Amino acid sequence: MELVIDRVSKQYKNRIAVDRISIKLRKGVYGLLGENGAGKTTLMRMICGILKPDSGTISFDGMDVGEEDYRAVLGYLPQDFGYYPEFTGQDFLLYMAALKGLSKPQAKQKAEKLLQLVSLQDAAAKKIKTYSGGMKQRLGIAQALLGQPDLLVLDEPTAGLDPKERVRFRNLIRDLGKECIVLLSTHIVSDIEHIADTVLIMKDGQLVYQDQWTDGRGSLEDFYLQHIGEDNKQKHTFS
Amino acid sequence: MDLEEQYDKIFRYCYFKIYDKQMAQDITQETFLRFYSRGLKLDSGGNLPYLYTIARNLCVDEFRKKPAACLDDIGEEAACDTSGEWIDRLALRSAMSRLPPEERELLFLRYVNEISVAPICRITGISRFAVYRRLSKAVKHLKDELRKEGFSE
Amino acid sequence: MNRHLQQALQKAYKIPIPDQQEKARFMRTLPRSRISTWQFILTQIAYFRKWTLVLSMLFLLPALLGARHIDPDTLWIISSLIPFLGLLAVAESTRSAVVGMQEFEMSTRFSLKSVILAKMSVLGILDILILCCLIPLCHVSSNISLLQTGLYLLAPYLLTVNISLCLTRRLHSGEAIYSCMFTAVLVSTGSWLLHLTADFIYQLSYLHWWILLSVFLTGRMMQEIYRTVRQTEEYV
Repeated sequence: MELVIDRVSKQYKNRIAVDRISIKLRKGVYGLLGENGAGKTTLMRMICGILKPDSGTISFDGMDVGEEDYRAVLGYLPQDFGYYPEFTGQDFLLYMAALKGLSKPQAKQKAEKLLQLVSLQDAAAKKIKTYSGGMKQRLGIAQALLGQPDLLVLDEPTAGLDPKERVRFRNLIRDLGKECIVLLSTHIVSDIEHIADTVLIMKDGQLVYQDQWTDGRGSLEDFYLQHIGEDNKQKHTFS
Repeated sequence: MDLEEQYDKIFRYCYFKIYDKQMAQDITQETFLRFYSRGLKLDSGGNLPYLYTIARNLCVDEFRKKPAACLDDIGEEAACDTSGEWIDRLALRSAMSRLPPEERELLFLRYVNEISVAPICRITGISRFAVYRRLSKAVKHLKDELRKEGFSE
Repeated sequence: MNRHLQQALQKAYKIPIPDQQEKARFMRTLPRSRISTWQFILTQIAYFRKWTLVLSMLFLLPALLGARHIDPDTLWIISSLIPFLGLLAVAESTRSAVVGMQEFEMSTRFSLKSVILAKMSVLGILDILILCCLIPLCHVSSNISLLQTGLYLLAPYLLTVNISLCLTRRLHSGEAIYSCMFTAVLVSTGSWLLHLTADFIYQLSYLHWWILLSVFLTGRMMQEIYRTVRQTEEYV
């Protein structure tokens, strides 16, 4: 199980969003840190096959990102999302399961299991528009897990979760990281500190740091601030 | 069809034939691998009999290799069961073990693994009518054995 | 066999799997069942909004009423209503972008591109069938040729679809739907007014203009469809 990103670049008009990034990811949890505009979302969307890189290749176990088989092992939680207003939580999961190519009986079972996993089984029959922000986020996470992905890409997954939910989420991610490749990006350094095996720091489209992170190394926040430059300290709020 | 549930059921089926947990898990996995290598799918349950047939054949092969290992190992269970229920469970299994193997198999497939009669016909190769008949005979037999041990229904 | 005994039996034979992690690892290696492209299309149809299909089918009402109830005016009524058929097709096909579902649909095995293509194909075929029913029907009751009938029904439909596709491509929200509705109303009223005030346009001498217009609009529609589908590949 290996995701190979080879010299991938993406440019918008006159700005380079992602600048020749090369990494190899294996089983485990990878935390992607970086300020707004550093290129995190662009990189993640390229990994998900939503954006085409201007140059470079992305492949998973030999499958190129453009192939249908690649997408079949991918689970993605986007940063901003909407939904068909008439959908209930369960409808939404069943619809997404169909898009992921799961058969109806499989979809039903998986949906039930996942709703339990994210503690939404009681709200499953209610319309999504009645959900709180945290509930919508949990539903989004459940959707990403349909189809048992080998590659899980989560863009700001803990936004809108209360502290208790955040702890539960961390445990979930830790368990998932034992089975597949999890790449999550966030502003919340403490999330990454506790669950990521490897920390990746992006700045101005480039990968400025990539290494394993163990608990004894001190404050990740300080380390991160160091890496992106002290003069940027005012721009950030960390929780 | 819930694959995970089927895995557990096949494991259970194999364990209570060969009484070796590790081997039972290996056989369970081998069963699934062979099933899929034939290009079959488990979506609707129509192919369930094949799964059991493969499992059963693998258990028979294994049993031939190590016939001695057929002791019901309740020691471990007794050790971790605090409610004392293990005595009832042991008694029930013991009563089952006194039934002829075909009756035991039918009862196991129908009532423990909850397989419906049509697939059982295909797994065992006997007619629907015969399955119903043997099942009711087996149930009666089991109740008799239990009564002998002093258990009421 | 009573329930109590069955439950006791199940309890008696309950045994935990020795290695859950091994089981999980193994389960991942098993082939995952996939639905075919045809099943996918059927699923998409199942998820169409009910009134899209119901309202589209209403256009077949003249056919159901029978040729006896059709009078020469029917052609013009249908001609001014046909923009709404086009509106329904476009609205349903491009729904994901409007509600923001495209975020999820983009990264799935059957991606957004497939979703939109499937919807457009199904609704396009449906509309073609509806038009094929309406055109002969209107021709029979009016005193103009089949070709003319076809063109007078096709042109407003194509015009609405063209403009609506263009609008949904540029406006990615609820605004898109309102603009498309407005377009349909505009084309509809325009068509009716044209018939009332400038009837000469519908005479044979102007036929070649109508042919040119329809060919042009069909070409443009292909372009619009192509651009809409292309856009699904680069949603920023």
